[in-house]
Amino acid sequence: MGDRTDPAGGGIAVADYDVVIVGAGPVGALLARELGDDGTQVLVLEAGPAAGRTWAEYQANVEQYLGSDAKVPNSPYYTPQYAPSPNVLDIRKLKDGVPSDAGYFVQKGPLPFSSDYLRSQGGTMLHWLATCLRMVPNDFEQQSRYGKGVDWPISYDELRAHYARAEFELGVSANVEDQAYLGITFPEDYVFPMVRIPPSYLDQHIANTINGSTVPLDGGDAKLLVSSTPQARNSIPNPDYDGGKGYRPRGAHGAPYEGLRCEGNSSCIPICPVQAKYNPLKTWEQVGPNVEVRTQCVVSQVLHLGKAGPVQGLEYIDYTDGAPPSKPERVTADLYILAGGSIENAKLLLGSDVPNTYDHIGRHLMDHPYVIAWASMPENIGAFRGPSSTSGIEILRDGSFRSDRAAFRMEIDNWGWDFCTFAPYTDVEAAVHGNGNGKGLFGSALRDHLADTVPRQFRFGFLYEQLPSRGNRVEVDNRYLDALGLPRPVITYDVDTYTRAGMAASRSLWEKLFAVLGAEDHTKFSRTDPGYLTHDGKPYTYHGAGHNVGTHRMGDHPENSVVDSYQRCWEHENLYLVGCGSLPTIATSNPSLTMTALIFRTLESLRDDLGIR
Amino acid sequence: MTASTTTPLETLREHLQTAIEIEWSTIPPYLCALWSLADGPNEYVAGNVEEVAMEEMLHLTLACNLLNAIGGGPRLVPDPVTQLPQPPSYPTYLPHSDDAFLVNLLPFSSEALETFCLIERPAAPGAPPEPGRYRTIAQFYAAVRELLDELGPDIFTGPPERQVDQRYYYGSGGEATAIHDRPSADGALEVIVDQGEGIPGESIWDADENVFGEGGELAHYFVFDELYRGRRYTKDDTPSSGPTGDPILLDYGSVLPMRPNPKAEDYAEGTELRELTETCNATYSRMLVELDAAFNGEPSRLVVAVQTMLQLRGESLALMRIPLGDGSGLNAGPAFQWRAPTAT
Amino acid sequence: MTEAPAQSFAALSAALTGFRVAELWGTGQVEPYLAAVLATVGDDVVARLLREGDEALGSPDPRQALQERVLDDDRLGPVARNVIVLWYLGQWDPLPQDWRNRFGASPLDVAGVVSPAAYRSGLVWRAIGAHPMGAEGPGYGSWATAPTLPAAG
Repeated sequence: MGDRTDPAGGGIAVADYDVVIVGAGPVGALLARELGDDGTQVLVLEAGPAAGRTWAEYQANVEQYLGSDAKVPNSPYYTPQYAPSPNVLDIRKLKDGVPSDAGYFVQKGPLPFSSDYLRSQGGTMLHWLATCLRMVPNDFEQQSRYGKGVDWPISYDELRAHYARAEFELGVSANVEDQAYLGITFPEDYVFPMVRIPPSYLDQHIANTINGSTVPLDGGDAKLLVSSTPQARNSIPNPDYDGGKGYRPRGAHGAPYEGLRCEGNSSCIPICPVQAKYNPLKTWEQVGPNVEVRTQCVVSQVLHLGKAGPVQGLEYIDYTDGAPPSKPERVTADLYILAGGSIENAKLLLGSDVPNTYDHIGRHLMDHPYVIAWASMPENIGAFRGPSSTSGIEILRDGSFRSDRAAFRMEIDNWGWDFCTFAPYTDVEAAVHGNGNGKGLFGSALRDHLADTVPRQFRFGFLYEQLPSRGNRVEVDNRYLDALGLPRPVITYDVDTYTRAGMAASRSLWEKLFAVLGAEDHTKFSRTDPGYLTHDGKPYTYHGAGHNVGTHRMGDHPENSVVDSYQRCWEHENLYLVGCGSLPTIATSNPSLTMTALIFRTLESLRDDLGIR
Repeated sequence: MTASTTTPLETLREHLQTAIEIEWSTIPPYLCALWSLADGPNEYVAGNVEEVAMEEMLHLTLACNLLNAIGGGPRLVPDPVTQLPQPPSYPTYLPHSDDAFLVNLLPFSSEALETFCLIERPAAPGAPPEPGRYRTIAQFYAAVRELLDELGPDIFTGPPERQVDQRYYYGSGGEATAIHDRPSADGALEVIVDQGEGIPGESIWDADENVFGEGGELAHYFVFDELYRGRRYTKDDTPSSGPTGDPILLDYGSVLPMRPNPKAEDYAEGTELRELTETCNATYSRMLVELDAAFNGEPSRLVVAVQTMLQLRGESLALMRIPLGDGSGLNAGPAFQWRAPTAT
Repeated sequence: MTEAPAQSFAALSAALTGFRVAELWGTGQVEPYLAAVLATVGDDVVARLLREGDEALGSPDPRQALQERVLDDDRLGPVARNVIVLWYLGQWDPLPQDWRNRFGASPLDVAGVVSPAAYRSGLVWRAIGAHPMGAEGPGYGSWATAPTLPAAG
């Protein structure tokens, strides 16, 4: 569609579209569907490839994963040369002052930002775990209550109804009686769409052992409770949902009878073979004819007038693999929505030199540094079965200690030591080759050894909050460009003592838990790990949790934020920046459910702007 | 078929029990044909055979629901005293089919497809069913409808807790609906007959548009017919025109060459094949026990039954890949032999 | 080459892995793995391996014989260990550099998962009572039940 001028002849250009959305991930999908159903003409521009349009195409991704040598989160998915995505295999240990140039990110340090994301239709939610936790009420008031971080411009109560809507859209399985802790409230008759995913045998064993007991933390005794984790994973529908109307689980995109229940394929990250896990392709399937999606179109510029005011348009490059990229094309709309993810949104804005008066764009980048502690149970607990995590400890996520140290949540993970030691591959190799020393095992001795040891493996994963810090940021730099000549994200990142003190507290917890469980601690942190750090003389290795937030945070005033609580850009009234980049703090919940809830609040403002309802 | 002193309600219950036995007799042959395709590229074929197999499981579920709804109880495993009903031993005639044709456990082949077409054959328009001599499944269900008409609406006395619905039944085929009155019973019968044979004489498409609100799919008979003839049916084709669409690509070379009607007794005692076949028989038997429990007041047992079915699939596929090594070029396979569980 | 190389390979693989011959045939990988090993290390090495394997398995103490004649042998040991890893993980590991120097290097001797089907057939998952991650899900709720280990032959 080209520019259309006003037919009345006034010479004023009419926009090409009502709305242009950058990014066909989870946020883009929901916004496009909702706005399209309202009658809005929507164009979606996605940098990456189209994905999983048919069941057969999706199965090809599954096969790619099964045949991959390194089964990392992006391994099933096609990543084109002109729309690269960060890969965890590119994370390096950083040396003082020397940026790492490996892969897509440029890492200035001092510590590596260790998460990835995926530029594709469907976005990073293709490979997500699907944990769907609500934030606790005090998370929204971290500054007022604990003198740390910032307050959100909205409260839990204001988001509560949107959380319920998000739980419907994503199809969340949980029992409401397990989820009302630390001040989280629900309407009296609320139930989740599906009953909780059955806790694993490992969960049950740990719960039976530790529930109701305490651990010394922060000078007091913290009570322990194992909770089932709410997750966007198909389970038995709850007949009481929606006032007794019930709920129909949504199967796979293009194959509605597949994926109606989690089958225990144990590959949530990076791909659920049957689509029992929610992915945005299920929402793309619902999008109507008012929405046009163009994939392999990288938005290269946000056009503006050099000062606060409306955005004038976007430029994008339409590319085909193996061919030189085409010249940028221009598109205009009444409203522009950047939904490319927190780092891509910031990169685009900074690369376009969009006015950024208070210098917040790209800053306050946060992740959940993720530390793993692993051990061996005295008996077979059935490692490597089921979803990656079905339970955790949530009740330690808030308390007065947050004036001094980061809160954390603890995942119980069902897949043995795979993330920490590359089990069971390394177990097989070590047993066959005899650890380099004596004779290797073979035959029934080998089989028995593996059967005796591997099923007893288990681990805990800890997700710690980070405080928003101006120094943790995404920038652009013309020395570092991608194959389209567009700037790559240049990241500066560190983990402060507030978070490290949280790691120290978690150490007390895991050591106590291992002792109570009679487990043999095998945790090892090595100086050569890229995410190695120390606190109070003790070592920790963190990984990225894949939770990239904060780069265009929301607030109550343009001086302290980039967007308002509806995710509208303060300085550019026709521009919305949506997704996890808008979160002003990360707290301890995996951010996707909150990100989804915010979409429904944002829609109120979008509809006002568009004159709908 | 039944003594003349049997009441109409008892006759209906016996008919439904027979329906259940017919369904469970056809499912193992469909599964053997389906699983023999597992290692090959025949996605269109395998997808369609799988759809039919899953729909038969839905029909089994609906028949059990209907029997439970009228105060009966389905039997999927032999009573320890009477040893009835006996699960089928292959080759077998379908129950109450007047020995019309033998059904074998076969890998996917023209021969298998011929049998499947016979199983799913639509009723000739207007053909009256004769008691005890049902030539097609469609005729059989027509008799069921007549009995329901005769008995009226007050027979639905079964406890609702015995109904299996979409809480525990899921996956291909469609939705399992609870039955509690004549309209819901008719809905179930419509699914069974129309998914199976289509509307006799008129259309090759099933009535899914009416029942599930989705696009129509080929009725089972025509699924097998188009595979047998090697050409696809198009939207405008009819039973008399036959399929006029694209040729169907079938790579018979990759079909696992299971020897027909495997039995554990084919192998000497103490051999690995004997042991693996018996393990598979035990899994199959356990699945029937779990299904029997699920359809007799414990719907949640379907969760375990599905796990067992997946295990059965894995064990069956493994057998189908093992060459017999007897010069025949054929492989082993699942025997679907009932083994009564021993008391523990 | 022995008269029935696939049979010899299956028998040797069973002894090396601790799984039964029929179970290995049941994965569908006997012939593909034999072909892969042949292509990578050549006829000569495979012929020796199968012959030594047959003789070891026919001897009074097969375990001892396999250890001495195959696993401790400079030429056959690394290949046999690779065969074990191939069966357990569906992947090929590059042979040690001094093996390549002494017995020949091949462009096919590279690290990697042999095929999606090979990955799915990995014996490690069976050995630990689980299933290949990303395939063969045992069904809803299966992870909540007490774990079991399959009976070894």
